[in-house]
Amino acid sequence: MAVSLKTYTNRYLVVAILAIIAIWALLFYAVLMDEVYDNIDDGLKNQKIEIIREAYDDPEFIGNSHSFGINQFRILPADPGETVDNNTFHNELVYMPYDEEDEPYRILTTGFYTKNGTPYKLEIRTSTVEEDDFLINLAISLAVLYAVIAISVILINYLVLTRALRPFRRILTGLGKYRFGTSKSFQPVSSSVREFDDLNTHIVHMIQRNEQIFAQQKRFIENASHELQTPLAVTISKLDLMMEEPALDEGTLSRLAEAKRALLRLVGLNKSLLTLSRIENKQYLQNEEVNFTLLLNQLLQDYQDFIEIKSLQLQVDLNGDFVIWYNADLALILLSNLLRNAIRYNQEGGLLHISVSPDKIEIANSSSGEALNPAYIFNRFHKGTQDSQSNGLGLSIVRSITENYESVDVAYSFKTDQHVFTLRKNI
Amino acid sequence: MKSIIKGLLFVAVTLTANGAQAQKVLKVNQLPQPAQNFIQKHFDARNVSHVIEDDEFFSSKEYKVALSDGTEIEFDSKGNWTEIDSDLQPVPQAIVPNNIRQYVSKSFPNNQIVQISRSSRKYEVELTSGIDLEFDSKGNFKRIDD
Repeated sequence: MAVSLKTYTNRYLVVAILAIIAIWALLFYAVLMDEVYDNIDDGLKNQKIEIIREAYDDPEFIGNSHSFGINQFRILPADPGETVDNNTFHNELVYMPYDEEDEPYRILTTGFYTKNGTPYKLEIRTSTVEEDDFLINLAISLAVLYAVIAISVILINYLVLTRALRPFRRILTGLGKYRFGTSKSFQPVSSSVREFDDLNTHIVHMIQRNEQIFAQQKRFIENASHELQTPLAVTISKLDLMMEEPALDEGTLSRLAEAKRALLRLVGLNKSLLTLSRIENKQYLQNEEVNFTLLLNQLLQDYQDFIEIKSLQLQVDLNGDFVIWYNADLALILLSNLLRNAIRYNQEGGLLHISVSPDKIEIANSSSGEALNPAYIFNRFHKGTQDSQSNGLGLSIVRSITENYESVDVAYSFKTDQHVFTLRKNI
Repeated sequence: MKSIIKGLLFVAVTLTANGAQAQKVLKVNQLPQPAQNFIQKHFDARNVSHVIEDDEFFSSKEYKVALSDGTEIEFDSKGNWTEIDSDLQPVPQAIVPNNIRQYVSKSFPNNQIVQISRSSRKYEVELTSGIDLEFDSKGNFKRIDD
């Protein structure tokens, strides 16, 4: 599952920070605790020296110090021969009557020998209430610090990455808007991050290269189509001449006629390809106020023979003029393609229904088949039923026109056994 | 390769064999001369209980002398004293450097020096009370060792 870069880096950061700072905090606390107790111990050891000095000075001192008094030490006799002069420290809770509760103390257990070698046990103690308080506060502070650092790191990481990734987002959006064939549609974005600048530069170069290749291809197709026209025309006229020879038999004549038909198909195909390429090169630029209704009527007249041959029932609903700023030649191509299809793919005696209103033109024809798939029918060379007359480019030309000149849209629908193509204004 | 291992084993065995003979009992007159003079001057040669020569492999020879009253004296390989441990009695005053003696009598009156040891870097002294003191090689007080 892909997550944002921020979350991705945050995950690693959080784990690392939590672990590292936790270890550091624990070590730090341990060191400080050690130092605090070292301090206390040094104090106790100093006291020991003073007590021993006093014991040597004042012979009654030992006798007077057999219980913890104000000075918080006591001297007790030890067994003879016992080694007492080692220092040991330990913590202990001692009940304090004046506070009526147990308080923490640190106790040094040691001893010394008198002039005559008599061993005595010496216990010195000091209250560690203050130090323990200090250590508790230290622990709390460390915990707070730890939490603050962890949260800050996460927040900062989040904010910094948001800012840093902004140019990247813009590049992504730009790429989303880019359309092949329009090199201007990708706007380069400048940023202060070197990697994104590099990305930008590379994308721009790539687009330029692609556009160049694309332009070459277009020119190639156009040139090829042009070149094809001449040899085709020559071949057809030679065939015509041959067919006028008086001494031909039926078989040869019909074969020549078939050859000519095939060549004529080739000519039609070539012209369509040329039209397509010109449409996509935006070579139909001259626009004017075009009245589609007038054009439709003209086309219906032109195709009257075909309509009659198939005994089609023509129904025309005129609810106003469909007028739009457009290229007249393209409008003619658009309408004639749709009309030709409606006639060609109609049943014998079927219905041809045309309805025109100021913002919509519908061309419908009845059919014996099922609904067509709009995803496929506009593709080049897609033919529903194998029709040797059709070159499969008619609807592809229609789509190319509506895609490159977006003021008119085309849509297909299937209603009550009729294929319906709808042209709509797209302001 | 095999011969190297064998050689190493041989050396190791000889060393350990030698180590077993680390301690040897000597007579007083087998000590280095400075040691004998020292004992004669500050103690009494007749009070010598036993003498041990200590020869560990990785350190130089040491001599340990025990007197009948419990005092122990250690000498280095040249016969200079390195430690005197008098149990609970004071060590001979004469061998204690002056400034050490002065310091002890000033800071710890009524205390005797019951043990003293020295190295090239420092002196260590234990008092009757059990307190340990450390001095530098010239006898200046460094710290209380506890």
